[in-house]
Amino acid sequence: MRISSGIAADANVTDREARLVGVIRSEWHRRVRASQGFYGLTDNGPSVGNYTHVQLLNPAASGITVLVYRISLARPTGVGFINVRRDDVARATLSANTGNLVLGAAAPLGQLRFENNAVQQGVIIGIIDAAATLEPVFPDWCFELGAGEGITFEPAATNVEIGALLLWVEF
Amino acid sequence: MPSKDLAQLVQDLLGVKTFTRLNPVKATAGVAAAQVLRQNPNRVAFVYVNLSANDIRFAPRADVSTTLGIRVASSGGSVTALYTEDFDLVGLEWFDIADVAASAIFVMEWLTQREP
Repeated sequence: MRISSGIAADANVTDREARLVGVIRSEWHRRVRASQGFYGLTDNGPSVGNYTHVQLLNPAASGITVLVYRISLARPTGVGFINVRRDDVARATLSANTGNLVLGAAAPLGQLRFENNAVQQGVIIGIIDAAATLEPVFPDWCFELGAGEGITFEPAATNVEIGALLLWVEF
Repeated sequence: MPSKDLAQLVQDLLGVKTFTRLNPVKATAGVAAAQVLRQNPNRVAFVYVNLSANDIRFAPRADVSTTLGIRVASSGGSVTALYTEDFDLVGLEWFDIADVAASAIFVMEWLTQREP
Protein backbone atom coordinates (compact mmCIF):
# COMPACT_ATOMS: atom_id res chain seq x y z
CA MET A 1 0.00 0.00 0.00
CA ARG A 2 1.34 3.39 -0.94
CA ILE A 3 0.28 6.37 1.08
CA SER A 4 1.02 9.96 0.08
CA SER A 5 0.56 12.91 2.39
CA GLY A 6 -0.19 15.32 -0.45
CA ILE A 7 0.69 18.91 0.37
CA ALA A 8 -0.97 18.48 3.79
CA ALA A 9 -1.00 21.21 6.39
CA ASP A 10 2.59 21.99 7.13
CA ALA A 11 3.49 24.26 4.23
CA ASN A 12 4.95 27.01 6.38
CA VAL A 13 4.95 29.81 3.85
CA THR A 14 3.85 33.41 3.69
CA ASP A 15 0.93 34.53 1.59
CA ARG A 16 3.20 35.86 -1.14
CA GLU A 17 5.10 32.59 -1.38
CA ALA A 18 1.83 30.72 -1.25
CA ARG A 19 0.55 32.66 -4.23
CA LEU A 20 3.76 31.94 -6.11
CA VAL A 21 3.48 28.20 -5.66
CA GLY A 22 -0.28 28.10 -5.86
CA VAL A 23 -0.79 26.80 -2.35
CA ILE A 24 -3.90 28.08 -0.66
CA ARG A 25 -2.86 27.19 2.84
CA SER A 26 -0.45 29.63 4.46
CA GLU A 27 0.86 30.25 7.91
CA TRP A 28 -1.63 33.09 8.32
CA HIS A 29 -4.51 30.93 7.12
CA ARG A 30 -3.44 28.14 9.42
CA ARG A 31 -3.24 30.50 12.41
CA VAL A 32 -6.64 32.03 11.69
CA ARG A 33 -8.21 28.58 11.39
CA ALA A 34 -6.64 27.75 14.75
CA SER A 35 -8.34 30.82 16.34
CA GLN A 36 -4.93 32.46 16.76
CA GLY A 37 -5.47 35.33 14.29
CA PHE A 38 -6.60 38.71 15.64
CA TYR A 39 -7.48 42.17 14.39
CA GLY A 40 -7.38 45.61 15.92
CA LEU A 41 -8.80 48.73 14.32
CA THR A 42 -8.66 52.27 15.59
CA ASP A 43 -8.93 55.82 14.37
CA ASN A 44 -7.29 58.33 16.66
CA GLY A 45 -8.58 61.76 15.65
CA PRO A 46 -6.59 64.99 15.63
CA SER A 47 -5.88 66.66 18.95
CA VAL A 48 -4.61 70.23 19.14
CA GLY A 49 -1.10 70.38 20.57
CA ASN A 50 -0.88 66.60 20.96
CA TYR A 51 0.78 63.74 19.15
CA THR A 52 -1.73 61.00 18.35
CA HIS A 53 -0.25 57.64 19.34
CA VAL A 54 -1.53 54.20 18.37
CA GLN A 55 0.09 51.25 20.11
CA LEU A 56 0.08 47.47 19.85
CA LEU A 57 1.15 46.10 23.22
CA ASN A 58 1.79 42.59 24.42
CA PRO A 59 1.06 43.10 28.13
CA ALA A 60 3.60 42.08 30.76
CA ALA A 61 3.21 38.48 31.96
CA SER A 62 0.75 37.72 29.17
CA GLY A 63 2.37 34.35 28.64
CA ILE A 64 2.11 34.68 24.87
CA THR A 65 4.10 35.97 21.94
CA VAL A 66 2.52 38.45 19.54
CA LEU A 67 3.68 38.09 15.96
CA VAL A 68 2.45 40.98 13.84
CA TYR A 69 1.18 39.80 10.49
CA ARG A 70 0.23 43.08 8.83
CA ILE A 71 0.19 46.78 9.70
CA SER A 72 -1.99 49.13 7.68
CA LEU A 73 -1.94 52.83 8.51
CA ALA A 74 -3.59 55.97 7.19
CA ARG A 75 -3.16 59.65 7.82
CA PRO A 76 -4.32 62.82 6.00
CA THR A 77 -2.26 63.77 2.97
CA GLY A 78 0.45 66.40 3.21
CA VAL A 79 1.13 66.23 6.94
CA GLY A 80 4.52 64.60 7.07
CA PHE A 81 5.59 61.12 8.06
CA ILE A 82 4.75 58.59 10.74
CA ASN A 83 7.22 57.66 13.44
CA VAL A 84 7.56 54.03 14.49
CA ARG A 85 8.56 53.66 18.10
CA ARG A 86 9.54 50.94 20.50
CA ASP A 87 7.19 51.66 23.36
CA ASP A 88 6.67 49.24 26.25
CA VAL A 89 4.55 51.60 28.36
CA ALA A 90 0.82 51.04 28.04
CA ARG A 91 -0.80 54.03 26.36
CA ALA A 92 -3.78 55.60 28.14
CA THR A 93 -6.80 54.14 26.38
CA LEU A 94 -7.52 50.52 25.50
CA SER A 95 -9.37 50.14 22.23
CA ALA A 96 -12.38 47.82 22.27
CA ASN A 97 -12.19 47.38 18.51
CA THR A 98 -10.21 44.15 18.64
CA GLY A 99 -11.24 40.57 18.20
CA ASN A 100 -10.61 37.10 16.96
CA LEU A 101 -10.84 36.53 13.23
CA VAL A 102 -12.76 33.37 14.01
CA LEU A 103 -15.88 35.25 15.00
CA GLY A 104 -16.92 34.44 18.53
CA ALA A 105 -13.62 32.84 19.48
CA ALA A 106 -11.43 34.06 22.35
CA ALA A 107 -10.47 37.74 22.40
CA PRO A 108 -6.80 38.67 22.00
CA LEU A 109 -4.45 39.16 24.91
CA GLY A 110 -2.52 41.69 22.83
CA GLN A 111 -3.86 45.19 23.24
CA LEU A 112 -4.52 47.99 20.82
CA ARG A 113 -4.17 51.24 22.71
CA PHE A 114 -4.09 54.93 21.88
CA GLU A 115 -3.16 58.18 23.58
CA ASN A 116 -2.89 61.86 22.80
CA ASN A 117 0.17 63.35 24.39
CA ALA A 118 2.04 66.63 23.97
CA VAL A 119 5.27 64.63 24.18
CA GLN A 120 6.25 61.94 21.73
CA GLN A 121 6.39 58.60 23.55
CA GLY A 122 8.77 55.67 23.18
CA VAL A 123 12.05 55.36 21.33
CA ILE A 124 12.03 55.99 17.62
CA ILE A 125 13.09 53.02 15.50
CA GLY A 126 11.89 54.09 12.10
CA ILE A 127 10.01 56.55 9.94
CA ILE A 128 7.46 55.54 7.33
CA ASP A 129 5.01 57.14 5.00
CA ALA A 130 1.32 56.32 4.77
CA ALA A 131 -1.53 57.16 2.44
CA ALA A 132 -4.85 58.78 3.23
CA THR A 133 -6.52 55.38 3.05
CA LEU A 134 -5.52 52.27 4.98
CA GLU A 135 -2.68 50.48 3.24
CA PRO A 136 0.01 48.08 4.43
CA VAL A 137 3.14 49.99 5.42
CA PHE A 138 5.47 47.10 6.30
CA PRO A 139 6.27 43.74 4.80
CA ASP A 140 4.17 40.96 6.30
CA TRP A 141 5.35 39.32 9.54
CA CYS A 142 7.28 42.43 10.55
CA PHE A 143 7.41 42.51 14.37
CA GLU A 144 7.49 39.95 17.14
CA LEU A 145 6.54 41.19 20.57
CA GLY A 146 7.34 39.30 23.73
CA ALA A 147 5.42 39.87 26.94
CA GLY A 148 5.77 43.50 28.04
CA GLU A 149 6.82 44.77 24.62
CA GLY A 150 5.00 47.17 22.33
CA ILE A 151 5.26 49.32 19.24
CA THR A 152 3.69 52.71 18.73
CA PHE A 153 2.90 54.68 15.60
CA GLU A 154 2.48 58.41 15.71
CA PRO A 155 2.37 61.13 13.04
CA ALA A 156 5.49 63.25 13.34
CA ALA A 157 3.41 66.38 13.89
CA THR A 158 0.75 67.36 16.41
CA ASN A 159 -2.96 67.50 15.73
CA VAL A 160 -2.91 64.82 13.00
CA GLU A 161 -5.42 62.01 12.72
CA ILE A 162 -4.06 58.46 12.38
CA GLY A 163 -5.95 55.32 11.45
CA ALA A 164 -4.62 51.82 11.99
CA LEU A 165 -5.63 48.27 11.16
CA LEU A 166 -3.37 45.66 12.69
CA LEU A 167 -3.48 41.91 12.19
CA TRP A 168 -1.48 39.59 14.40
CA VAL A 169 -1.21 36.08 15.74
CA GLU A 170 -0.73 34.97 19.31
CA PHE A 171 0.83 31.72 20.42
CA MET B 1 7.80 -8.61 -33.57
CA PRO B 2 4.60 -6.58 -33.48
CA SER B 3 4.53 -3.82 -30.86
CA LYS B 4 2.14 -3.97 -27.94
CA ASP B 5 0.18 -1.12 -26.46
CA LEU B 6 -0.31 -0.47 -22.77
CA ALA B 7 -3.57 -2.41 -22.54
CA GLN B 8 -1.95 -5.45 -24.11
CA LEU B 9 1.01 -5.26 -21.75
CA VAL B 10 -1.30 -5.08 -18.73
CA GLN B 11 -3.32 -7.97 -20.09
CA ASP B 12 -0.13 -9.99 -20.50
CA LEU B 13 0.81 -9.17 -16.91
CA LEU B 14 -2.54 -10.11 -15.38
CA GLY B 15 -3.78 -12.62 -17.91
CA VAL B 16 -7.09 -10.78 -18.29
CA LYS B 17 -8.31 -7.43 -19.56
CA THR B 18 -8.83 -4.68 -16.99
CA PHE B 19 -11.34 -1.88 -16.78
CA THR B 20 -11.27 1.32 -14.79
CA ARG B 21 -14.14 2.91 -12.93
CA LEU B 22 -14.29 6.34 -11.26
CA ASN B 23 -16.01 7.09 -7.96
CA PRO B 24 -17.97 3.84 -8.00
CA VAL B 25 -19.94 4.66 -4.84
CA LYS B 26 -19.66 8.36 -4.12
CA ALA B 27 -17.60 11.52 -4.69
CA THR B 28 -17.51 12.97 -1.19
CA ALA B 29 -16.74 11.79 2.31
CA GLY B 30 -19.04 12.75 5.16
CA VAL B 31 -18.78 13.09 8.91
CA ALA B 32 -20.34 9.66 9.40
CA ALA B 33 -18.49 6.50 8.37
CA ALA B 34 -19.78 5.32 5.00
CA GLN B 35 -18.87 2.83 2.29
CA VAL B 36 -16.65 4.16 -0.46
CA LEU B 37 -15.64 0.89 -2.19
CA ARG B 38 -17.87 -2.20 -2.28
CA GLN B 39 -16.38 -5.61 -1.63
CA ASN B 40 -15.29 -6.81 -5.05
CA PRO B 41 -13.20 -9.90 -5.91
CA ASN B 42 -12.57 -8.45 -9.37
CA ARG B 43 -10.73 -5.38 -8.13
CA VAL B 44 -6.96 -5.56 -8.65
CA ALA B 45 -6.04 -2.02 -7.65
CA PHE B 46 -7.47 1.27 -6.49
CA VAL B 47 -6.42 4.85 -5.83
CA TYR B 48 -8.16 7.00 -3.23
CA VAL B 49 -7.35 10.75 -3.20
CA ASN B 50 -8.49 13.35 -0.69
CA LEU B 51 -9.27 16.49 -2.70
CA SER B 52 -10.62 18.44 0.24
CA ALA B 53 -9.03 20.79 2.76
CA ASN B 54 -9.94 18.39 5.57
CA ASP B 55 -8.34 15.20 6.80
CA ILE B 56 -10.09 11.92 6.04
CA ARG B 57 -9.73 8.46 7.60
CA PHE B 58 -9.97 5.44 5.36
CA ALA B 59 -10.16 1.78 6.40
CA PRO B 60 -11.62 -1.60 5.40
CA ARG B 61 -13.90 -1.39 8.42
CA ALA B 62 -17.30 0.15 8.95
CA ASP B 63 -16.21 1.62 12.29
CA VAL B 64 -13.52 3.81 10.70
CA SER B 65 -13.01 6.90 12.85
CA THR B 66 -10.47 9.55 13.80
CA THR B 67 -8.76 6.89 15.91
CA LEU B 68 -9.11 3.96 13.51
CA GLY B 69 -7.95 3.92 9.92
CA ILE B 70 -5.42 5.34 7.53
CA ARG B 71 -5.17 9.13 7.75
CA VAL B 72 -5.52 10.54 4.27
CA ALA B 73 -4.09 14.04 4.57
CA SER B 74 -5.93 17.09 3.29
CA SER B 75 -5.20 18.68 -0.07
CA GLY B 76 -4.05 15.69 -2.06
CA GLY B 77 -3.25 12.90 0.35
CA SER B 78 -3.76 9.53 -1.29
CA VAL B 79 -3.81 5.78 -0.75
CA THR B 80 -2.94 3.36 -3.53
CA ALA B 81 -3.48 -0.38 -3.20
CA LEU B 82 -2.31 -3.04 -5.65
CA TYR B 83 -3.13 -6.72 -5.33
CA THR B 84 0.49 -7.81 -5.88
CA GLU B 85 1.52 -5.76 -2.82
CA ASP B 86 -1.59 -5.68 -0.67
CA PHE B 87 -3.19 -9.05 -1.46
CA ASP B 88 -6.80 -9.48 -0.34
CA LEU B 89 -6.96 -5.97 1.13
CA VAL B 90 -7.60 -4.61 -2.35
CA GLY B 91 -10.91 -6.42 -2.75
CA LEU B 92 -12.33 -5.63 0.68
CA GLU B 93 -15.14 -3.26 1.43
CA TRP B 94 -13.65 0.14 2.32
CA PHE B 95 -15.12 3.00 4.33
CA ASP B 96 -14.20 6.61 4.98
CA ILE B 97 -15.03 9.43 7.34
CA ALA B 98 -14.06 13.12 7.10
CA ASP B 99 -13.53 15.93 9.58
CA VAL B 100 -15.97 18.13 7.63
CA ALA B 101 -19.12 17.16 5.72
CA ALA B 102 -19.09 16.77 1.94
CA SER B 103 -15.30 16.56 1.65
CA ALA B 104 -14.43 15.91 -1.98
CA ILE B 105 -12.64 12.69 -2.90
CA PHE B 106 -11.50 10.98 -6.08
CA VAL B 107 -11.59 7.20 -6.31
CA MET B 108 -10.44 5.05 -9.19
CA GLU B 109 -10.49 1.27 -9.26
CA TRP B 110 -9.18 -1.31 -11.73
CA LEU B 111 -11.43 -4.30 -12.32
CA THR B 112 -10.99 -7.54 -14.21
CA GLN B 113 -14.64 -7.44 -15.29
CA ARG B 114 -16.54 -4.50 -16.68
CA GLU B 115 -19.13 -3.30 -14.19
CA PRO B 116 -21.68 -0.52 -14.38
